[in-house]
Amino acid sequence: MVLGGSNYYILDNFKNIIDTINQTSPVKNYINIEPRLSMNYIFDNNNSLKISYSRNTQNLHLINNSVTTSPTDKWVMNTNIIKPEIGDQVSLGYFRNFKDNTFEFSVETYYKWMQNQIDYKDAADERNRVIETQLLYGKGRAYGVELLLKKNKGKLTGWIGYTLSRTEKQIDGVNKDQWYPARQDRTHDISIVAMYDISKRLNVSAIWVYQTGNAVTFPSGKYEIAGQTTWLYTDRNGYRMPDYHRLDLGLTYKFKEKKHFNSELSFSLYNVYGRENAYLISFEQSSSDPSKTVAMQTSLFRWVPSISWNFKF
Amino acid sequence: MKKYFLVIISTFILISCEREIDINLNKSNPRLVIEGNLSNLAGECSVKITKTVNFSEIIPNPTVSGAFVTIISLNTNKTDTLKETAPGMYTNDSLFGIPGQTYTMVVKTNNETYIASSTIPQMVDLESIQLLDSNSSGGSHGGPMGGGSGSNTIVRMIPKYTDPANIVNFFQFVVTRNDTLQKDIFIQSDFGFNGLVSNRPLRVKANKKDIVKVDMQCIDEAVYNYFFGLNENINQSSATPSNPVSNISNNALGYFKAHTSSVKTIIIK
Repeated sequence: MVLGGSNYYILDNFKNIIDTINQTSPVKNYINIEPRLSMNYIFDNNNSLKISYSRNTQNLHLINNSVTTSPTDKWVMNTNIIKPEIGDQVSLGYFRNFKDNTFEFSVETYYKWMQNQIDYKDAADERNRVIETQLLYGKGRAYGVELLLKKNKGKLTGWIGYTLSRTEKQIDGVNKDQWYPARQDRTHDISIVAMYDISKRLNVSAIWVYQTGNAVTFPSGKYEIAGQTTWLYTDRNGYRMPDYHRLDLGLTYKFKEKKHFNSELSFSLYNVYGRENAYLISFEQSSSDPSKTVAMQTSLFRWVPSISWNFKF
Repeated sequence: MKKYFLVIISTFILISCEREIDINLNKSNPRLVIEGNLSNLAGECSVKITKTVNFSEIIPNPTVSGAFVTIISLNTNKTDTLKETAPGMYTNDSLFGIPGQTYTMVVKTNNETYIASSTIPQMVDLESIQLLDSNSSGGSHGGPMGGGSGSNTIVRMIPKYTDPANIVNFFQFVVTRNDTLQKDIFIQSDFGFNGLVSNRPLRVKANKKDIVKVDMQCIDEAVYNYFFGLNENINQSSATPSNPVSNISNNALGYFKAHTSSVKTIIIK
């Protein structure tokens, strides 16, 4: 239900405001059911198969921009124009345990159809007061496969996870009406987590993550117009930010337990090998040769060491 | 009852670092860039034709010679030809347009034809320029080519004109400072002050004793939208970078602008 009390707008086909609604009664009602179906087939103690279908609706919408100079996102609610996003997902998964449940393995594959997807029109102004004038609507799809191997017992525990996926949108007016990757489309996503008990008191851990960079729009060429260098763009989200990866290490020491007090001390180091993961990328005139253009990358913190002391009493 | 406490001492090494990186940008097929101008004054008619280059190549981008360029009046059906007077620059010094009439630019090159139409809006006179103040703390109007040379102050000046109430108007202000054309794009629409006297200032880079010429041009909506998009493209300020929407056919970049012209000059005090 979209309640009244603030301004809602009526737009024409060219996204110009032709009327403003301000009423105290509800402006619009959206009614959606969310059916869910899940089936498990258990072959034996160690093998099972799972099939599921679900429909989800989302009434709060994240709108990603496509630039690399200011990665700001916007959250908007349903309005008379912005409809709830609806997603239908089917998934099929196979689960298996090995060696007396020491290892767990699973592979899951999914496909999701999405309606009422939102994206900015070309040359959108995200600071516009009436954001609906900057938006276009279409459909989306996402599919992929997830692999997970987990070790639950022993001195060494942890897991290895890998996801291969694709998330795309098709919106008339964007990318010549062709399917294009959503900003958060991640082809590869790997995470490796390991924990090792050196002794009863001392424990080390390591986490390594790897992700394909976000899909973004970069210029493919340039030209001069009205005396100024202008970028030539080809596809929406046709490029990738550099891959993101980092390693974190941790060390935890448990102090001797007392009757009403026990505590532990942890040291950790974030981004051990100081990977400069890209936060922003912008294009500017080269300082050494003004006729050339260079890409500049800004990254935030490299190493972040921390110490924490946890105690219970 | 058990209580949990957590103490964290964290040393953030908050250094953001900036460095040049190599991005493997696709090679793009060269596309035609056309900048067409037709004024209600003679001597201002020009069409400049160039081609885009890949990201790693140098600017200025190459010009396109040997094109056949004409401008047709839709009201009189009269066709005028422009001559190539410099590489890639086509002009006709005797040609001018009439407010209220629509003109079509036709460019033929390499067996391709590019067409654009633009209407000269009704004439609005620039009555005067009111100097407001000057301060040196103005924001940069940079873009890819940087903010220009030298230390300049930002001078705020109001181009005074009376907006016609009967129609929607769009304006562009082309500023020349000491005979040098300024790169900044100044555009205004009458949204919010239809029929009133304009009081919105331009922020012009200039120093004392500079001679600043302001050419107020009435332009049509398509041309206004083009320059709005161009400004966003240059400043990399849009949420979704894209080529400004051109009024030229056949996938060409650029614009064809038929406009009025009303000029006033001031000396900065």
